[in-house]
Amino acid sequence: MIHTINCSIINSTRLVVMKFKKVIPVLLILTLGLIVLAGCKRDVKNIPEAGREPVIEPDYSGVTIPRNIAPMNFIIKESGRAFSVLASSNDGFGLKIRSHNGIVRFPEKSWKKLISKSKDGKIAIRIISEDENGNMTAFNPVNLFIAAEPIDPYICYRLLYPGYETYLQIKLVQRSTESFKEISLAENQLLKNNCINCHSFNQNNPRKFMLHVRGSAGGTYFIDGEKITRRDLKAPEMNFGAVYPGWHPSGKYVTFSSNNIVQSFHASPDENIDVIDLASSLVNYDIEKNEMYPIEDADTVKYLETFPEWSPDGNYLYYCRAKEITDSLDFKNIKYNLLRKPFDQTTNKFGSAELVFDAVKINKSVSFPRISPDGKSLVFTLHNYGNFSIWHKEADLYLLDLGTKKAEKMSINSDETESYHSWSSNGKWIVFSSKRGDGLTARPYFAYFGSSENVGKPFVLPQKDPALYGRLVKTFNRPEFLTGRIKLGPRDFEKASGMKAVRAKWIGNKN
Amino acid sequence: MNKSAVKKIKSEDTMPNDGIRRGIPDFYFLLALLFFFSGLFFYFFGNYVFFYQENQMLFVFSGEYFEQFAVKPGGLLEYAGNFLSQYYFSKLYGAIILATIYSLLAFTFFRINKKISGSSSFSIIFSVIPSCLLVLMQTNFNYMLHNNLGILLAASWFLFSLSSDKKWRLIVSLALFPLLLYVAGAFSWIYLGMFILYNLMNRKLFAAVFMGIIAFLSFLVFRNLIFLQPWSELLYYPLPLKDYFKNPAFFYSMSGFIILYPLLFRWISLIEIPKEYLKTISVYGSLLIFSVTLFFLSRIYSPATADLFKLEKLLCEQDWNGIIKYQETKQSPNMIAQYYYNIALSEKGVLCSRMFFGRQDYGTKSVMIPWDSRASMNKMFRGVYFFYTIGLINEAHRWAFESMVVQGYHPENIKLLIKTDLINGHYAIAKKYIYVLKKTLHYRGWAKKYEAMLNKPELIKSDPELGEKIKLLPKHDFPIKIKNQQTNITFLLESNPGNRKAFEYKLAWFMLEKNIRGVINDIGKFKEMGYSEIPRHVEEAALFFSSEIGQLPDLGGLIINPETKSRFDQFGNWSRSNMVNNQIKPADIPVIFRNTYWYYLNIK
Repeated sequence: MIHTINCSIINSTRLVVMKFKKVIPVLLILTLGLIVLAGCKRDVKNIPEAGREPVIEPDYSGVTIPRNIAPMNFIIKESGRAFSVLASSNDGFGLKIRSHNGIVRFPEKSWKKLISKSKDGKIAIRIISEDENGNMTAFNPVNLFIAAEPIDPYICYRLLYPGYETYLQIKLVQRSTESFKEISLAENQLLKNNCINCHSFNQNNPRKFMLHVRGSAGGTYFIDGEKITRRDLKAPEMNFGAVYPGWHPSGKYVTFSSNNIVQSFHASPDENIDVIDLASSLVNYDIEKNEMYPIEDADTVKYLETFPEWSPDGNYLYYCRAKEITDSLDFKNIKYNLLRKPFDQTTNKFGSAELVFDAVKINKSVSFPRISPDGKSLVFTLHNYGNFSIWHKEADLYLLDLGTKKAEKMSINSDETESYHSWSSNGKWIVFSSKRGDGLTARPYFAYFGSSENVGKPFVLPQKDPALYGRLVKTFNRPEFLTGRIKLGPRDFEKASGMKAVRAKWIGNKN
Repeated sequence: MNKSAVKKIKSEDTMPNDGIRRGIPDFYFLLALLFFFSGLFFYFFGNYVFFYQENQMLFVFSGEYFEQFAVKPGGLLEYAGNFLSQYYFSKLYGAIILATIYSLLAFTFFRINKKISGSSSFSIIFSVIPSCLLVLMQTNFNYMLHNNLGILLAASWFLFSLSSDKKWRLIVSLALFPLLLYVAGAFSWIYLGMFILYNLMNRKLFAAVFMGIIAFLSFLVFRNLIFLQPWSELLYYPLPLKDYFKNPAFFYSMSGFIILYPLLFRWISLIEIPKEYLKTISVYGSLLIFSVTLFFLSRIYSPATADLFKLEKLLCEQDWNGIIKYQETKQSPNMIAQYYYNIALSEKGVLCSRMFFGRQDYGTKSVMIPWDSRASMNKMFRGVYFFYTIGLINEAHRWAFESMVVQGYHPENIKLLIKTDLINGHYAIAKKYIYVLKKTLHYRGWAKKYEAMLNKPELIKSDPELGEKIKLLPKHDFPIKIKNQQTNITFLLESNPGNRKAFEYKLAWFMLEKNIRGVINDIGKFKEMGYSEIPRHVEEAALFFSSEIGQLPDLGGLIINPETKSRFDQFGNWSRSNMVNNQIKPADIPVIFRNTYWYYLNIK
């Protein structure tokens, strides 16, 4: 059945959903749609072609998206007093939108239907612009490719100003990838305005994670189901607090780097700020026993060790290591390699460190190693020096084949910073922070990962208001995939902050 | 109070009264007097409040800006205050806004008086007291406009609650308390106090208790179900922050007075005045209140504060000549005023030629304001101008950004964010700030000017201000020293040896710390930096040095101005004949020598 569409419908911004019979070929649908878009009376053949795709923001042209993604709303960045948009699947389903300001918003239900009807894995978005004189221009269709594998239904990130020393509003947010639902998880005004730091999940599990809070509500909050435990992980024997976490897949341990961190500001317009470790080492924390012990190295050289990451089988601890510097002004010479240590899960003993990727050799530095759920691939950030890649414009993502130990720059990078990243639970999607929009604020981008040779063009987390990224000065920090929704909220963390933080016991030599 | 008295009051509440009718013309005269008196005061003397407050916030016509305030009780009151405060750019509008609020408040209390005790002889006099208290309160520049609106709203809502004895009005008052709590936040506690007290006075125990219960439940529901705000915010916001009030006692006393107002007025109404004295009491009583207010105003008003804000206003307008003239005339002893003076001199390129024409009482402390994460941002923000002036644009951007994070947007931080991002070529982010500024009432035009520069580096370079700053930028990177700002000047100069502002600041620093050797070491560089003559104060330092060492230092091909030499000889002759025990009394030094470096060396 073909819905009858008259011109009066076209003249408003209302959306018309057309349902066609499944047997009608795509070409016919596109043609029909185009006729409707053009104003019924106009022959589509008479509309001049621009001969190119329209510029849309965010750039969704040629991206690979999952079937369960939220509507990919966008803004048309072409001149014109009105735009007609037809998004269609190959299976006889089309969404038509008329926009006078270039903003295109798809209703969620219709969007889902559109994707479900796209059996050949493609959505074509056809845009026609109309200028003040009624002259129309048809653009080449923008194609979105649909992957079969779904994306995890939620991501979690910190939303805050990309500030330097001061902060005021920080919140931890869980956001549905399937809709625009954004749920606050923790807000610092309920935690005595203290800073909320790193959050980390055990294998994308929304029921098992942790986050740090500084200051008077300080401590590390461990979440197990709906229970929150507040711990003070800085045992008296430790010189510095526990900072960057890495969950052991068993959920029994979290390995931390214990860091002495300082900030430095740059005078050059090309650089901004650096966060430097003057000292750092690895410690392992037993959650059940509330015990902390050092991960020692037989090497007598003084190293900086940070960013622990466990292999999915729990047999290897990956981390970044650099030689310690003696002068803090010499921070541009701090370069981290990627290493790993074997771990015996029966004895809880670590073996000797082995080099996985020699970044120093190429005068670069590694940060944020993250291993795919199948244990075959590792994505890390490579930049010129140090470990705080989010402030390094040159930082890019590299894919390391853990079998061959060969690393290659990923196709998903831009000229701006690419930094923190994580894998979806099925290993088919990567979410990463990128500052490609404005050079200052990070946004969560998703990329399809079919294999090392088949990585999709990334797309930014869709927003209900597609203009949001263009005006928001806040940054999306440490995006992590979640396999479901976290059932806790800001008041739960506020309540937990009233509990006493139980201090961890130290086992072993002084740190 | 006995039952018959209560009955009498009740009957007076509901019937027209001769006494009050007679008082009405007097009241309106008084109201007009209040309007003009407060308006004139703020127009002529207290107008620094307008400049300061308009610069502390930026009202943006956008849903997101509204949302920031809508998410917490009391936010809408602040939103309304900010809306009106954007008109503070004009002292005329500002004076009219404040005078109107004070007059409305007096009118509201006059109506409240009528309801409490219609026949009172003190109705007129008493009704202006809260307004006079607010006028006094407003001399504190941190007392933001929404606080006045909060008091006005609480009083108006109280007037509505007691304006009739009908049940529906009581029910509406009770039912709408949560709305009042949402709109007015902590100011609703003032209303609550007035309401409960009034009803207890009138033995309406049920209404008082029920209102108390509703307030308590509203608070709990707001806290636990609706708003993600801590207890303290729900209790205090948007009352004036403690941070800004060294002595909040006056505000709390004023609030206490307003809460107790129904009771106090009832008591004073019990005093009966013979009819023939009614007018006299009204006139002289009101004059007395105005006189007392004027007396306190004269005590509270600080010309030094007004001067500082005048200078700050000139700084925001980049009226460098205005700042130099004002400070050299007023010779403000304030450290910030002297810091602004040095900024203005640097912007005009005459720092080392003129800095001792103004007071330099704080040595190097008036060169820059050091970063202190414990200090309040609205005070510390002033430090940003030094970095912007000398061309350390990254650091200026950082300070402006830190200010934006803590204080939200205000006209100065957002303007600096835009300018520094344009200078640094960060157009995408500059565009975001320009987008915000374009949604304001008074800065749209400014934003459009800079919007035209986006992605057009040639246009930026040709802009007199931004182009000049680009020339001052460091040519290579170095780490900013937060605790040792002098090093930043040295590093900047090493990175960009042609940066004359950094060079003069470096020498100014040496002069202020009386490090003449430091000045002499660099004196030979003037010619190679394009100077045709050595700045006057540097010449003075060189001559002083020569008097100690016996010869002039290498001037790098330039010469000492004969006028300076002659003045130095005169100073030498004078000091030789007037020095007692190697000391010179500051007051004895002739005026002609007071704007010299020698004066600073001898006296400071």
